Amino acid sequence: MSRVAVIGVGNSRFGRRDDVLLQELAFEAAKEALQDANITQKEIDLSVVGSVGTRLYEALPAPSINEYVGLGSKGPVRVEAACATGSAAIYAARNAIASGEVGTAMALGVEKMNEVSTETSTAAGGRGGSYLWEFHMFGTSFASHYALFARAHMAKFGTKEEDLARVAVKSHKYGAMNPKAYFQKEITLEAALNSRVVSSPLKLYDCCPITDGAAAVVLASEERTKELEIKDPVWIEAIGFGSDTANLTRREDFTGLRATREASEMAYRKARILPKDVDVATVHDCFTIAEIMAYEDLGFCNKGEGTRLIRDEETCIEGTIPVNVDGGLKAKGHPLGATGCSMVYEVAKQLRGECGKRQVRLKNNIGLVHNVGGHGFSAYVTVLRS
Amino acid sequence: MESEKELKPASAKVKSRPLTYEHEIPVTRVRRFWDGVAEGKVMATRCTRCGERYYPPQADCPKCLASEMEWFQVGEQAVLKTYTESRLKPQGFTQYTEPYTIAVAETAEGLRIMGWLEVGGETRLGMTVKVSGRIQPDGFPLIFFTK
Repeated sequence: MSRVAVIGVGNSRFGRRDDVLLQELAFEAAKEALQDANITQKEIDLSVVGSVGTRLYEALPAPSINEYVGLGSKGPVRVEAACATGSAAIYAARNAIASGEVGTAMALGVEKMNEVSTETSTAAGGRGGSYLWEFHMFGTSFASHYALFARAHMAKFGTKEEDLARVAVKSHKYGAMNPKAYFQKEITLEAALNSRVVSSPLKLYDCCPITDGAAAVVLASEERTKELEIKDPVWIEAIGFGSDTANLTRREDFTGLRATREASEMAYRKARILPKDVDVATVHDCFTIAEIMAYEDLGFCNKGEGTRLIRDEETCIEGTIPVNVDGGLKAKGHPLGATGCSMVYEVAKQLRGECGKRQVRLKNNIGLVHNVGGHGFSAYVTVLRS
Repeated sequence: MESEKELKPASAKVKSRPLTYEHEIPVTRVRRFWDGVAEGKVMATRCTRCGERYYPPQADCPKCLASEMEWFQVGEQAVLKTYTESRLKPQGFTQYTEPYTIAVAETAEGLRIMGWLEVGGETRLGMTVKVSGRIQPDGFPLIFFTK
């Protein structure tokens, strides 16, 4: 398999983007990624569009997106893997390059989620597991799914609502330092704890916002990276994947995600690294409990000890393993199809040392991206190295 | 010089043509589940070839690839594993005025099922709940966990 590098990244401003069309939003990310790589569309062999699309009026969004961004002749494929769609797009693009089929590819993740009502968007998310046996009868939502995990984690490991709130406070702190983030304001622990209940025990500040956004990652083979004279490639060392039941009730346990454990074990093995070698990580914190479970399932600590990392500020910029110092899904936002690409945007920038006041200290030049599909029915873990 | 208005144009929106999906779902092969709920029971399937049990029930067995299933009623007592009181009102549920509590409970035979928890008073994980089914006035099936 040929080595594959990230040679350019782009990220639109995340938020409630009432000011742009889907295609215009994708353009922001694609343009920045091309300019970051210092190439034009001519040098892109393949476009992989990542879009969940369940909230769109555009039924089949990829053709019009590709056409709008100038990749109309390069886009035969759209991928979907729920909230891990961005990582799936990168996986498909990476594999096309690694197999020798193409020399370069763009993974372009984009989502507009705010053009429909909150009720519609909530239903689209809540139908994401196994419709007949979950949403149809019980009116599940993504918040309620993760709330079931939160309740079980609290009961088994003594996790407190304050611990969840600490994750939100950290996310907002870094979101306020990231001009691409949806939320640009810090919050207090009290504000998080006093926010209204959404699905107990999760409150408003435990939940990521319904977000519009796009992110793009340009990938190239080792040969093309040299030909294009890329000065600062970030190499994809490994992509691990895992999956689990569509029906939440078929899980044996509600205190973690097996898909994450499988994906990370595969990624660590392929990259020949250990969790402690990671300098910086973006983890899938669609809800605050998800970040704590991710610490544990990714092996940053033992199972049940995730709260210790957040209480001891080990996952802040100055800590032993900085996590989501871009604001995470929680404060930067979670435009489903874009999220995985946006995570790689952040980690690539960190590994290139371009994050200014949010820059982490690099020891091993290794970053990790963790992206979960739905209520844990799939997960990707990508290891990057500069 | 460009004016402020040109730099930041006022938001302009148009309404889409509405698109309504309302599916006719063919539950023929798992119909016994709906019939069971109407009788107050929760039904699951067991593969007659390999013995694998399925809840949610399904008509085909991915373990041995057989499609000969028998139906059985899951235990009426279950242990509460986790729950959440949902204040969200997704489309399709906006007619429910009160929050509802979604829960997962495990039956004696080790099957985990989802239901709405209606115990009133103290709720704790590990408590025993009674499992029952009901077709609601609007025609949708529901599984309840009660005291």
